[in-house]
Amino acid sequence: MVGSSSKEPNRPLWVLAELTYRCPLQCFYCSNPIGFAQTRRELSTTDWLRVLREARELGAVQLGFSGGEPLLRSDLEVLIEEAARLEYYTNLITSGIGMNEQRLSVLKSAGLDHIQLSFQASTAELNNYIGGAASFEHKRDVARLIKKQGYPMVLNVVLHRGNIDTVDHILDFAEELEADYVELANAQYGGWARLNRNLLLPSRSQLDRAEAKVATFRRRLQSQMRIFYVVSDYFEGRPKPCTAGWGRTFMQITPDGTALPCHGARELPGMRFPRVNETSIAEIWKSPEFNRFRGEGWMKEPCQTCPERHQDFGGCRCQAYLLTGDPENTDPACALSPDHDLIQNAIETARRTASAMQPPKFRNVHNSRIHGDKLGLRQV
Amino acid sequence: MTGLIQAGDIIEMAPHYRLRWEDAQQSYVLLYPEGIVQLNGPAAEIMKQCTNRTSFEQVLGEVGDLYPTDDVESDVREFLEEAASNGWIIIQRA
Repeated sequence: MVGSSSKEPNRPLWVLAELTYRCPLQCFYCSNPIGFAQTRRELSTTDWLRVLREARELGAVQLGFSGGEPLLRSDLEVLIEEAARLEYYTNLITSGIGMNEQRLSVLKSAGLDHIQLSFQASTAELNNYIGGAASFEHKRDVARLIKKQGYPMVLNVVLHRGNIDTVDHILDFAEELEADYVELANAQYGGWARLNRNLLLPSRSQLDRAEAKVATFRRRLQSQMRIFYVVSDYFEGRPKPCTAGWGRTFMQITPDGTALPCHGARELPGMRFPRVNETSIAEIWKSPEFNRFRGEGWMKEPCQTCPERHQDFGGCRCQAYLLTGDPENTDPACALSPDHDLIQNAIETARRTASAMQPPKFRNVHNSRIHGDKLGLRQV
Repeated sequence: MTGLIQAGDIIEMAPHYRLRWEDAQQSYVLLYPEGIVQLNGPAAEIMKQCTNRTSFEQVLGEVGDLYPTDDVESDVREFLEEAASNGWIIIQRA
């Protein structure tokens, strides 16, 4: 009799507002499009305020402010105040750069509910290398201030070959900072992570060791800290239920106002996603682009008759396109996909080239201009 | 702590969780950092009781009045234990 219901949602419950592509860090696994430097100008405050109201009217409840670095927007406080007034649960997803005690307190008064703070690693040397900036000490100070002001705090660390061996140290560090949640997310190979995949993909044995360490830590965990370990679909043999299914609960709005059902959707061929400054959120939710991979009608075999299609929704359309060239294909992360060898070959290539120390392609404007035309943002 | 509920345990919704009625969904939802759970009627009634410090006996008393079934005690107990393991509520031994 008792429990949570699984009624099919028909509205965006989760809105991710990417306020800007500007960022003081240069993490080379960033999920932003490679061609971010070509984007048009950022949405105005007025546009964002309208978007927040429209999405809330449609039933959205969870709102994430992200980027780039959302703290670079000087209207962040105004947007959070309006979001709180509209009774969203507001999440700030930040690197911590640009945060200080006073701003934390202003954001708190504005009604901010929660802060997700990223670290690139749990030591200064590694953290600063991966982020391409000397940010570690500041981040640590910000983490302490976040807790001091009574916010719930999620520490987020993206895992890859360069830091996955230190996962036990990362967990100790998160516990020491009194994180309420720690999210250990294996890199997802879209955006910049796709460009740097050979440098980022861990080996199977690295992954197994890390997962064993997480399990050990969980067993001896004394505090209330909760650990979210986000698996690597490259090694799972099963695709991830990307954004809980295309057009089911999630809408992302990019800095220039393009509405997307998935982080990488902008790179899909032949699709021009609607913009929030041209049409309403309600219209966008019903648009042909948001309907394109909704439900199961688009599926081919092996998805079409697969008993797991209701759980994984066929995986990520953008990953299917990036790797196989056809967004209607089964996500090749699935071992049942006829293209699964693409994943196995990628793991093997990364393993073979692991010792040849290539420099990473850091996420910055310069590299965005160089690599963006080839792989990045299609529409400008 | 998680695990089995005993007589006299103090129960409270975890800090930073919000329980709220959502018109659009015609249901109560539980909100927390980057998460949302839609609750059905009985689950919402139990969670409502937990928004302030309470005990298993008090929750059962209130919910039992609303749903006077034979297995209400085991249902409430099961839900609370599940809620504790999900981190929605905190159980303190008196």
